[in-house]
Amino acid sequence: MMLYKRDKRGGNWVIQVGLASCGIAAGGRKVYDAFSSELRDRKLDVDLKQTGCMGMCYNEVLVEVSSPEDEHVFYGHVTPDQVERIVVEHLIGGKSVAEWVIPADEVANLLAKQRRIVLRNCGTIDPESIDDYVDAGGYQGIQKVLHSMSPQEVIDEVTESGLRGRGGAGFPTGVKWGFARKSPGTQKYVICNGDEGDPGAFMDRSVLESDPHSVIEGMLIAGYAIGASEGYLYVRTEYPLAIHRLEIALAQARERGFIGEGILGSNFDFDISIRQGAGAFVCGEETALMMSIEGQRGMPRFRPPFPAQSGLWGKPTNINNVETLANVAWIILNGANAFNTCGTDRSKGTKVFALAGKIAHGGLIEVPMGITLREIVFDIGGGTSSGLALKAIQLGGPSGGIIPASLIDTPVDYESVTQTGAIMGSGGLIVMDESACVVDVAKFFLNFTQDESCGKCTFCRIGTVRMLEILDKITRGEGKEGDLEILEELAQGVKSSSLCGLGQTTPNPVLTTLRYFRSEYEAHIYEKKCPAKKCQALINYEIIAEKCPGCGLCAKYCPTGAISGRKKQPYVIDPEKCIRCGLCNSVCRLGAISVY
Amino acid sequence: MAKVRFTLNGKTLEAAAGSTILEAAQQNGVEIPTLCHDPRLKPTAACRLCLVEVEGARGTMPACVTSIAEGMVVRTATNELIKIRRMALELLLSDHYGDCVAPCKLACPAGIDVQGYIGLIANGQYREALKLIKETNPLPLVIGRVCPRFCETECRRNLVDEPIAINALKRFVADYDHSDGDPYIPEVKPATGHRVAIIGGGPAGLSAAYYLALEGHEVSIFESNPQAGGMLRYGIPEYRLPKEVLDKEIAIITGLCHQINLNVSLGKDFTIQGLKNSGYEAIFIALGAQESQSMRVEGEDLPDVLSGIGFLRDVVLKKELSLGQRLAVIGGGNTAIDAARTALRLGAGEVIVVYRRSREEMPANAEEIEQAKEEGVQFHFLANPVKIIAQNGRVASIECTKMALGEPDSSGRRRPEPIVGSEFTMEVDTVIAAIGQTIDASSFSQDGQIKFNRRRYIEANEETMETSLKGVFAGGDCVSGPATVVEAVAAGRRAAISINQYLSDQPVAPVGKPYNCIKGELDEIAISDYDDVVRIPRTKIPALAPKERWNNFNEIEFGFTEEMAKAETERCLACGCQDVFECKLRQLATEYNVDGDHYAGRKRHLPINKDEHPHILRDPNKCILCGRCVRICDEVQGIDALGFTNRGFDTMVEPTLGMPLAETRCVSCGQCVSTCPTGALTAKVQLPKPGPWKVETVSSICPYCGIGCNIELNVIGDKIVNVTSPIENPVNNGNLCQKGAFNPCSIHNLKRLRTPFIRRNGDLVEASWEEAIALAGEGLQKIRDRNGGDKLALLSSTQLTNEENYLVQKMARAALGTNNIGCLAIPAVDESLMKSLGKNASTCSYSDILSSDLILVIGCDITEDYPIISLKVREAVAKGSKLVVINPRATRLDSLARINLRVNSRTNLALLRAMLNYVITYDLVDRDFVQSRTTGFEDFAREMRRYPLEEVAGTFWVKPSRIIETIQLYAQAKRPVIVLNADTIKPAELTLISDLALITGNVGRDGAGIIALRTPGNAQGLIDMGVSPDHLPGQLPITDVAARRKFETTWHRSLPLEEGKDAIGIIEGVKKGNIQGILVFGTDTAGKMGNDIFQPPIFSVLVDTMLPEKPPYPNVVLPGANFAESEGTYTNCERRIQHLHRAIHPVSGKENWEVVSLLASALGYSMDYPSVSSIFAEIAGLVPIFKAGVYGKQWPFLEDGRFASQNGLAKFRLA
Repeated sequence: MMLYKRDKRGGNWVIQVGLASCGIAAGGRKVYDAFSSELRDRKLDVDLKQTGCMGMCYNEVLVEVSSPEDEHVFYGHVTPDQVERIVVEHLIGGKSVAEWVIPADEVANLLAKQRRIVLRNCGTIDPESIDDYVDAGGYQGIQKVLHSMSPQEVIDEVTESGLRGRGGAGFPTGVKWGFARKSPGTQKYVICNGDEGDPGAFMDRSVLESDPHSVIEGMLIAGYAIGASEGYLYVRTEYPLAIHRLEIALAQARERGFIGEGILGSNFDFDISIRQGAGAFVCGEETALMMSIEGQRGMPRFRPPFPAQSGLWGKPTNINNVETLANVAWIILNGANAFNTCGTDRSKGTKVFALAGKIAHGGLIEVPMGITLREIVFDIGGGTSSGLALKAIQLGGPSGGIIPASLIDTPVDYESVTQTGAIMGSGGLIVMDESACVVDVAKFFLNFTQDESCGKCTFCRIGTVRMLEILDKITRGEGKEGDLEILEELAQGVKSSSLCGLGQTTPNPVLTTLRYFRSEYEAHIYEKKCPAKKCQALINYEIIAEKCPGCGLCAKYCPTGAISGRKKQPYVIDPEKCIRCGLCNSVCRLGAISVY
Repeated sequence: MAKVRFTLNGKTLEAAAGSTILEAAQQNGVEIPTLCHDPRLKPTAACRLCLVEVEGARGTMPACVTSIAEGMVVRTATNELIKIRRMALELLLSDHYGDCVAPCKLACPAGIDVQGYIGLIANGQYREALKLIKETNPLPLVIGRVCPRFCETECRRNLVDEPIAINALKRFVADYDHSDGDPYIPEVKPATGHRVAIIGGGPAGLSAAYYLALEGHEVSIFESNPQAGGMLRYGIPEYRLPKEVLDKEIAIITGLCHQINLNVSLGKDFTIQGLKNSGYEAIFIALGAQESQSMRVEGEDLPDVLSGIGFLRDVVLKKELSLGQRLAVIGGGNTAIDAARTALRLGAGEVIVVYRRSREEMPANAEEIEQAKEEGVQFHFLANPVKIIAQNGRVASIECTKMALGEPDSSGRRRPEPIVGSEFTMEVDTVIAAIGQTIDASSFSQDGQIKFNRRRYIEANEETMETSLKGVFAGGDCVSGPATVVEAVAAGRRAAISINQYLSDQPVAPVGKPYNCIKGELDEIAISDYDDVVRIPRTKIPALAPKERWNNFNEIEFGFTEEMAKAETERCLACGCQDVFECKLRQLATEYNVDGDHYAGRKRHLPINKDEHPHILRDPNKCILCGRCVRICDEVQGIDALGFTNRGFDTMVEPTLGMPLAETRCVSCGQCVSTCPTGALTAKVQLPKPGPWKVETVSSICPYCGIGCNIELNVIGDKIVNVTSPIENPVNNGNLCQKGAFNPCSIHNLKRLRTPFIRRNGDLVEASWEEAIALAGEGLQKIRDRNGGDKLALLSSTQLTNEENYLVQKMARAALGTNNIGCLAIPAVDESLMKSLGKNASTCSYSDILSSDLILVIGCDITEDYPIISLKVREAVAKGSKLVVINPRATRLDSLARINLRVNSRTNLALLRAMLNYVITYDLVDRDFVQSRTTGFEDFAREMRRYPLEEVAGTFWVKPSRIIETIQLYAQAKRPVIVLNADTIKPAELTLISDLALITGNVGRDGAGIIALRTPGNAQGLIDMGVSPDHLPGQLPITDVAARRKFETTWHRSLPLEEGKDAIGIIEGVKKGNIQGILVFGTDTAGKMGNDIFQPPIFSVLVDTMLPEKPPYPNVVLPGANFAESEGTYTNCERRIQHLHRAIHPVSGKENWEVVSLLASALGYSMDYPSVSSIFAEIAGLVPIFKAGVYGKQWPFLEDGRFASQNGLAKFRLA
């Protein structure tokens, strides 16, 4: 089983350790070092490599062992002390350590419905090695373009592929390039928007960390197409590894002549520099992003003029996000048809999703457009992690919407997703089970976006705060008649009248939950109940006397001393002292705590 | 200009191509609301108020940034848009923490602008204060004595120490107004011919009569009593409101009325229908509530049981009254207290007030209860009479029940409930029942149609005072039941407004209430907000000691002295917003009728640093984050002293790096204040109290430099409150620098000269105008007659208007017979421009900077010296013009410049010669221009060939290539403009600069030329008006015989022929004794020259705004007027003749031109003019380029396309 068919080098054993941020956070470096010293100590001639994100975040640290016979085995949750046994039994003994191996059918299920274009190199190549990228067919796209295609032909090819902007809005990429090309001016810019800020989203980070050259190559092709000679990679400063690997990649590409003056002997000049965003979510909005690059406070401005007409420093500018650009070289090499045969009528190609939340197999996946949510959540994601029923899916980050389980058969394409009230967004997909309170979830996302408002326009700056205050009241049990109407009125106002995309989409979580889960809001307001038993002010804990053997464990854990009783007799909770933290419930193994 | 056609709200209209929707609508008279847009700034679309619908567009579009396009269909006021705007406004107001108007004004039933009049008193403007009070209350003498003072209860000063003595201050100005026997009588509008009858001469009726009379209606009052005043006369005792005082106030009102009919009662002597029949179109019923309410107890009909109100009336009518020795007054209101105190004064032995609740619930004024106690009135609380017991047909005692207080009733006070079995008796011989009053319904027996409400008062609309009968209005106690005087006044005024609407055929509608943002009730305000307020006790109102009140009805309270009043005003916290009359947010909130609490939530409450800037006050609590201040500071000024901080709801505008504003790069231009749509940024007012007031806006011209910025002096009375500038003006587009924005406000702080002074024994002593003028005339005349006019000299001032300077030189030439005319501000006028180009002035306009493709700034830091011009340069560069700066030192424009030539000023001449040489050598000469428009080229070129660049290049410390680049840029530019400082440039340099412009053909044609800037206010005007030893007005040489003849004819005098002395010559003449008499105008004199010119034996006369500080003193000093006190014109540095209007009266009573006229007369030469405009008419008659109608326009530099020389050609000159 393998993620990507690669050339084998020299018939050696290959060990690859996933060292994207997720792998490193799980302890991947220590595992890598352990392999390294183990192999050195045993003087084994094995290729030990780092690679990027393999997509199976739930199994980090991930190690792939490939035999000279091209048999691939994945180990999950690898710790340094497991390394010796793997080396001894698998590499020397030739037999994998079965109990640590991720079952082949699990991997097969994961991959069966995926189609990897953007992630073609993720988890297979060493992101810090340009050779790996080149070996995998890298920089052939730009070569093809420079040697055999006119800029217009490039634009036509991309247009024909049907590629749409993966940043969320879904504007046809080729058309966008065409505008920038047609704009008069000698100085033009290409910007890669890597300011991924959605909570729960890590697509762009993974691509930048795992395959930085594919993004650079995409920028080069875009630059050639529109007639730009300068590019900016705008990456948030919270992604230090991505920035580090991009710096390495840029240095390597420059050294090889893929960027700089007269690229590959042509008369095409293009250079790229990195700009770090300081963590303002709104700088993902393109006009704010450009202001940020210019050194000003990132505040969106009204469009038109669009960046293609007047962008960075007033010059024609093309902005694409990371995932969009990572598609480009593949399209050029494989042709528009190879791309547009995948996907639906109006949404071509694939989409990368970051699966997160209460999902069994959380991770990074790439699927053809048009696949249903059911296939993503259940077939690929393995259903909920808790075993509780699926309640809803948050799609598109804080600007997206919450899709109820009843719409699980919605195909994932721009139009269908928009119809549900959510948006495709950049591809964050958060799964919620029955334990999630939608009011609380809406409050969480709104709290994020209102905090990230740039403060420029009235509706976003104040309207969202007023919405948040109402949600807060509702979750505190202080909701009253009329609140939902004002909430809705505000949500509609903020959506219709905010200046930029951030403000216009901020109400989406509220609007979609109101649309699909209104009764849950009403229960909070009128019955003073939280059906999901999440909102502390609206729930009570009680010990069911019949079930309580009087072990005292709950009383031991209770942080406020609200639980009292005598050993071997049912304990009781003092509701006055109880702060509804739920610790008792989580420690009681007998189900003696009732929440109502 | 190209036009586009578009549809706006269903109408097809046209607008200039390239306009935004906002501008296109504006061009067609449709206002689209906006808070974040200012035409000086790039649109930003932040406030979201200008959203409009554009057919075919997705969603709404911000009108401020969206361009209008041919065929566009725009809707600006659909229900959906109105909903969105309301929401935007309500959201903004949900985070707006401040008081639009002070709580005192809101609390006042009459809506008197308390903060406004307190401020005026603080400024010493008592008449203005009174006028302001009388806008909503015509009875300040009365109310100032008897008001229950709702305002003081709400006064925010309660949170600090004690409330301001608001009412005592009102009384002070009212008393002050009458103190000199010339009280304020407002102007009455022209007669309308409408007749109004007012029934009842009490406070409501009098108020209505006052305001209706002012509208020009014929008002007749019908009063049932022998005198007008109603309860004021018959209910309020003399010791609180002396009748003499009341009479004064009533006299003013009745004086405005057509007639007052006394002793006539409705129902008895006339009816409403009868009034209508006799031609009264509107009737106001203000009968009051003069009937006592019954106690409904046994024994009430006994002869010794009096009604409170009846008793008080009888006392006024001086009826015989026999009061017993022990007297009970029943009730707890003001009438009860008045009755008790009156009874005591009439000699009652013991007076007991019986009240059924406790002291706290008493409706009477606390202070009066206190005074009653002081005087010996006893109180029996929680008791209620149930029976009056008689003996021999006379009152012997009253039986009362004790009461206890229960639950609060509808009035909010605890309800008294009898305690069963607690009855007791009090021995008394007289009972005065003062438990309430009601209306006498019998008056209406014949006018049955009028409706009464359930409480048996007249039914009238609370807002409009309309009754059930058309044309009949009612108000005051007869509608509301017994209430306070100030409420009656308010009702009378509201009725007057409605009646005026009714009479002028407008719909009768309540006056719209403006939106008011309030911080909250007194108990909701954080006391910590006032931590920095200095505690000052309330000024005590002087009053008679209790023992002095015995047995007399003398007025108890005296009122404040002037010092007390001033001291008390200092305590005012000025709670209301400075911007209340201009605030755009408030205007829109009112227009869209918003509910500021609809989206109530957390409001930010931020500290205010009052000391962070000398001129600007920032209140972040009122900031709506429109960013106009941030943008104007950056985009227009290029200063960037303000910026946004934080994110989301906590976003703020703050000075750079959180420093106090004054410590940033702020240049105090006040632009942020000028653009702020709310009260978040306001100008600090340089008066004891800041107002705000509704100001009169007087357009004027900034006198602090020669740019001639248009300013507006905002004036209340004789005080300048602040300065603004109209955005629509060609000179400065609403932009100002620190001097223009703030200096005019400080003129009140100067120690002004108010009367003439004359020198006596080496000292200055005050003199009358007649004496001083006569002395001046005599002294100068003597020298003229004995030794000739050339022994006299005149120094004028660049602060004077054109008209004044014209008169000054006319007087010098015609009356003194001298051409010794100069000005110390421009001691030797550089005439290079005149000699080369025909006139001594800029050849082109400021606007040419904006349309230029190259700007050459030579020898000055214009950001420092002429900030407004530098804004234009900045704007031009942003539009694509190139900038070259030639200056020895760094200037703030350097960063914008294509080339900076840091040339030492000593080598300027060499540089210019080398540049000219280069132009000639490399044949960059504009041959056609040189040939057709100039003379003297050949000689000039020959001379210039001697100065090749190569030879001198080494001396400049500048790369020769930069110099060549500069020449190339200038020679190749299509519309190059040279900007220079004419005050500092040397004549030779200016000559070569003229040559450079001529040789390249860059002068005397559209868009290209030289702008010569001058520092003194009206320097150009002074030059143009002939304040010159050798030039007459119009820059005409005195040697020009034809011109001179024309002047001589008009002035009826022959003029001195020989060229006179300029300022330098005059000073020398003074020293050498050639000048024996001198007349000096203006402040730019003494400082510069020392006082040598006033040294005896020279006879000297000074006209100035301030007294010379030290000797030697002039023989005569006459007070002069400053620019704000003057009417006339100034000419700016682009030859624009601009009107300045007199904003305030000259402190001396005379404008400068009047002083000149007086002096001329004293010299035996009549210079009488009926007005300033007649002076200008005379100038225009003599000098064609100033022909009438040029106000606001520029006089032409070229005449019919020719330079103003004899042959019409410009001249190359050597320097």
